[in-house]
Formats: sequence, structure tokens, C-alpha cells
Amino acid sequence: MKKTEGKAVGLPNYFKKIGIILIVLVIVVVFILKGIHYNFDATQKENIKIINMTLINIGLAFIALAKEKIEDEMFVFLKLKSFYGAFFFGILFTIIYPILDVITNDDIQQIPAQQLVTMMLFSHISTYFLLKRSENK
Amino acid sequence: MKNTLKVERAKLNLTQQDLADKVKVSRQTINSIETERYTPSTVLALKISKVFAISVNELFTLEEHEK
Repeated sequence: MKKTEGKAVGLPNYFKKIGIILIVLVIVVVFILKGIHYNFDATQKENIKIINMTLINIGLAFIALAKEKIEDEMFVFLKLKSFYGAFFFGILFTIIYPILDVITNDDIQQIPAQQLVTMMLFSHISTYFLLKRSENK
Repeated sequence: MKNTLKVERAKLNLTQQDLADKVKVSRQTINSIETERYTPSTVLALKISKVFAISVNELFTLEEHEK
């Protein structure tokens, strides 16, 4: 019954630690850059912001896609549930975001893709963590 | 779906971890099955019933509203 057993796909468990280290490093670098009071021009600031957001997304993706030490069918099921939740959250966010712009009388703006990915990954990780905790009780 | 996992485990004097090791899943999964929060796949149900040398039907039974 190997075909339907569904082997868990994902990155090895140690990628979780790599992801956390990457995010912590980005936060530290941001604080250092703020601390040195160097005058970056607008383009440099924008580039730094994009690089930081990309690195944070890579870190979050590593955490989200890393397998458990013993990745069995229940954890795959919990991951599926939280991925579904994150997908639903992403759709809801893209619908609500322009409406909020209208309500607050701002110009309707497009949601930055990076921001959306960050929120979806964060939603997945937090939902998965909460589901895992409730199963541990 | 109800199950008699805890009873069967007690008969063989197995801990949740022992059973988890035998069927190659985590202890949390065994705990979730035992407390009826998670319904195992057919493959896992067969593996567990094999440990106790009983049929799946003896180990897992449908509740009234599931029939």
C-alpha cells in the first residue's frame, strides 16, 4: 500500500532552526542599521526593506515546510488544516484590504505580494502550532 | 469513532510511547487516537490492531450517529 500511504514531503527538521536563526539575524541587522544612523537614500532604504522581507519570508518558509522529528499522518493532517486556514486567510485579506482603504477614505492600493506571503506563512505557522498544542493535551 | 485502545494497551502493559514506537508514529498521535480526537487511516488502524492481535472492528467501532 505504498502509493496511497502518502509519504510526508518537506524539508528536514533542522530547517526549522535555520529558519529561526535567519529571522533573528534579520531582526538584529535591522536594529544595527537603525543604530548606526547612516543616511541611506530612498532607493537604498527600499532595497534593504525588500531584502529583509525576502529573508524573513525564506525563514518563515523554512519553518513552515520543515518536517517534524517524527512526521506521521496526524501531523500531515494538522499541516493540511493550517495550510487551508492560511489560504483562506490570504483570500479574506485580499478582499478586506481594499474595502478598508475605501472605509478609511484612502486611495485603493494593491497589496504587496511579499506582505501577503508573510501573513499567509505566519498564519500557517501559528495555526499549526496551536493545533499541535491542542493535540498534545 | 470509539476505540478500546487504552484497554488493549493496558492488557499488554504497553505505554503510549511503546505503542507509538511499534507502529512508527509519534506518542501524540497515539494519545489523540486514544482520546478520540483523531481518526487514524486504514493503514495505521491495521498496524495498531496487528500489535494487539485483534481485528480492526474489535478495536474501532462506529458511534450511533456514524452508522
